[in-house]
Amino acid sequence: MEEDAVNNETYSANNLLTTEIQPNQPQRRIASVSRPPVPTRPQKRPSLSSLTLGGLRSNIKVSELQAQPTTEISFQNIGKSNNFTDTNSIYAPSTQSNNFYDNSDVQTIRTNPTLTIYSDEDDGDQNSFTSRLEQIISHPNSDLKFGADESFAEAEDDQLPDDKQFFILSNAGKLIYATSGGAMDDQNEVKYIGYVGVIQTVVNSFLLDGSELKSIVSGSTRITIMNQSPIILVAVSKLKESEQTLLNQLDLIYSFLLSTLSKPQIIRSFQNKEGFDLRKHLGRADLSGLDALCREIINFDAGVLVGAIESVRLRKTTREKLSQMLINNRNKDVLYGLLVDPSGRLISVMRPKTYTLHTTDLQVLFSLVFNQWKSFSDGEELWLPVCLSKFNSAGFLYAFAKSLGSFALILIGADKTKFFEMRETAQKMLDDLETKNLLNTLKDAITRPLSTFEIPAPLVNHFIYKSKRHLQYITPSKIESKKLKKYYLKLYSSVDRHTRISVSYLRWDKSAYNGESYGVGRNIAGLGWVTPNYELYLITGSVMRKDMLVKSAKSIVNWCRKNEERLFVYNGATF
Amino acid sequence: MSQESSRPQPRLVQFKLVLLGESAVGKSSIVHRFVKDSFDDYRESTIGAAFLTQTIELNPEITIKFEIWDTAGQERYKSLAPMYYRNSNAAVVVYDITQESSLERAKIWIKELQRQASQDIVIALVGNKADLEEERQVDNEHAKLLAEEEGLLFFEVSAKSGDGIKTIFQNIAEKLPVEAQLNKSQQKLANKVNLQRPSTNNQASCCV
Repeated sequence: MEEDAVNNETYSANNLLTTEIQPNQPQRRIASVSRPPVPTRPQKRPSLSSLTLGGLRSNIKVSELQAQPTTEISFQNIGKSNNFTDTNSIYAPSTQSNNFYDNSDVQTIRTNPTLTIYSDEDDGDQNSFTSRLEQIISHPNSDLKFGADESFAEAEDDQLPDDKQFFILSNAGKLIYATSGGAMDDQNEVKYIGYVGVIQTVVNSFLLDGSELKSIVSGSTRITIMNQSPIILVAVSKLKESEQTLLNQLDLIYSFLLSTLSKPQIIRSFQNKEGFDLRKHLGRADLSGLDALCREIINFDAGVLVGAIESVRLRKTTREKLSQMLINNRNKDVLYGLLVDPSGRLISVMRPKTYTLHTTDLQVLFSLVFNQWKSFSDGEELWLPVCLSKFNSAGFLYAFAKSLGSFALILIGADKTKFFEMRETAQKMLDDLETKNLLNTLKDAITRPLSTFEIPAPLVNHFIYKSKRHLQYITPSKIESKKLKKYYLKLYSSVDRHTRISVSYLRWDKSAYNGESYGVGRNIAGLGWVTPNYELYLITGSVMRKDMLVKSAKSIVNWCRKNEERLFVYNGATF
Repeated sequence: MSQESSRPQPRLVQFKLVLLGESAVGKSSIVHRFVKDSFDDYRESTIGAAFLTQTIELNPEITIKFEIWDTAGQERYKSLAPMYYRNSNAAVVVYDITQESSLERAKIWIKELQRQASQDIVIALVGNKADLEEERQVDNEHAKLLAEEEGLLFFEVSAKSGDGIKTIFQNIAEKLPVEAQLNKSQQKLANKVNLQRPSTNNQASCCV
């Protein structure tokens, strides 16, 4: 686990109670979220020379755009002059871009210009840029069902498929992967060709411009682009997620791609032949793995959202015994040892003192292993070359993984020939677990959920608490309701991450609000609270008053901090 | 030694076996039919390699334990293949009877094994998906002839129905140098008999 160097100052539990929650923090309602705040200092506006807003009311011809990427692009009927006066809405800094992590090796992405496309077109105009864009990126039946009338606790369709898509393409505009695209054969590719053309043109023109455009907002759709030349990753989302949230997701997808290919191989592939088709290097297993990951992100994954690994609650003594068990049986070839439950929750970690494991690397590893596990049988063992790109994007490590039903043991080393040594070590560890009677303790801990009733905040229906020090999070139950997922997405994006401490309060009224109705059953409120040490997101349908919510939030934070050693893998076993 | 011979149980001989072949020909399905007697229509394709074990009774005196490497068919993992077949006693090279190209890939694997693997490796050429007779592209006789020319065992099987799967491993077992292996392991045992821990029954301890 990564242990960041955040804690220059320590919060005692007592201190925490008095932590100031800005009383003047404006009540952020949904409407205020969608409009970015006006920056106080003037923004340096990137040159617009290559992009003309407004102009002809005719279709964009993709072929023309591709042929002349550096010449004028005319987006029809966009940005009437009155929109230009609102400078900030055209090039406004994204609301949440900084300080996602305080740890140094996470790329800090600076405030980025965002191109917001405003359009006065009739919605029914099928030729308009906005609607064309939306047509291309969405399926015919892609009505946003947010605001349907179930209360959030009810079971419902937990898929969010049409609201979001990911694309991976090469610099030359060759589509490598698209969610819902399945195997990307040439025939299938045709479906996306218009879209790819637009993206490629926009990316190229802005690259040439030296600008760092990362997002295009068009209507309810945000298109976020990550340039990892020779690879370009694109997220298209209607879920009102922030640019940074989408960039984090793209980074995870990129890391997954690297995990099978490694960076040098990708670079090599495109050397001298820009038009190389990377799909030649990706097999069925890679694509199905990529698909599984993207679907997991699209269907909402709390760990991906908050950038942390979920942990299993254990007694401190049990944790220590597990650490001992790992360290005592370690052989010299084992670099990392991990105990994980089948839903990817962390039980114990063994690592060298000086090398931590990055959250993204763990997420990639778990995704690979658990996707494979679906078809595993008891006693089957996996030997997997994997490039953990945050650890070293140029090389491969080798992971031994063995499932024991209720949990799995993963050992990672650097030597591809040491499978049998790893296997022997794993067996010793598992024998040790058995002789120390830890197997049942573990099984109990894994199956026992965290109940909100244990925490002195009974009115809170659901929460996510992330400890930044541990880069781990806990949540009382799996987030399966589509509605709850959307509440969390919105809540997460509403928090201002420019300040050290930030609180965001959202409320979904049962009555129609701003044209959108947010459920008829009950009012829902959410509170997001981000400090240098922790992040808390809570959702409740029971209490609406902000001061009550803040009180509950404090109770949860206090409880989590008091029980830190039980809730999180603390130091792990280091050697 | 004395402990071993006083037991009425059959003697256990271990062999390493590797499965090779193009992606999606059904290597994992063959292994799972053999080990678990199960079949999954929507099996995820293998990444890296999976390691499994299964025992079969060769005769009342001898039980054979196969340590099986189920490798990924993807070309990207090709460079890892030598690691899996280098110490193998047997190799099952699989093709898909409905894909002509998969037989071509199988031929390349056979050549590589003959060149690089141990001299006495037992190789079986296996055509999978025999249940899809109407989609057949590879003639049974043609493949059989090829196997005969190269001195390989040959089978056509269906992992889906289970037809012929056990036979592969049974026939391989019969061709393996059981006595030699037995002598070898007895020698090993004699050399370090005192170091041997009394209970090493791995299989029982891992699946409680």
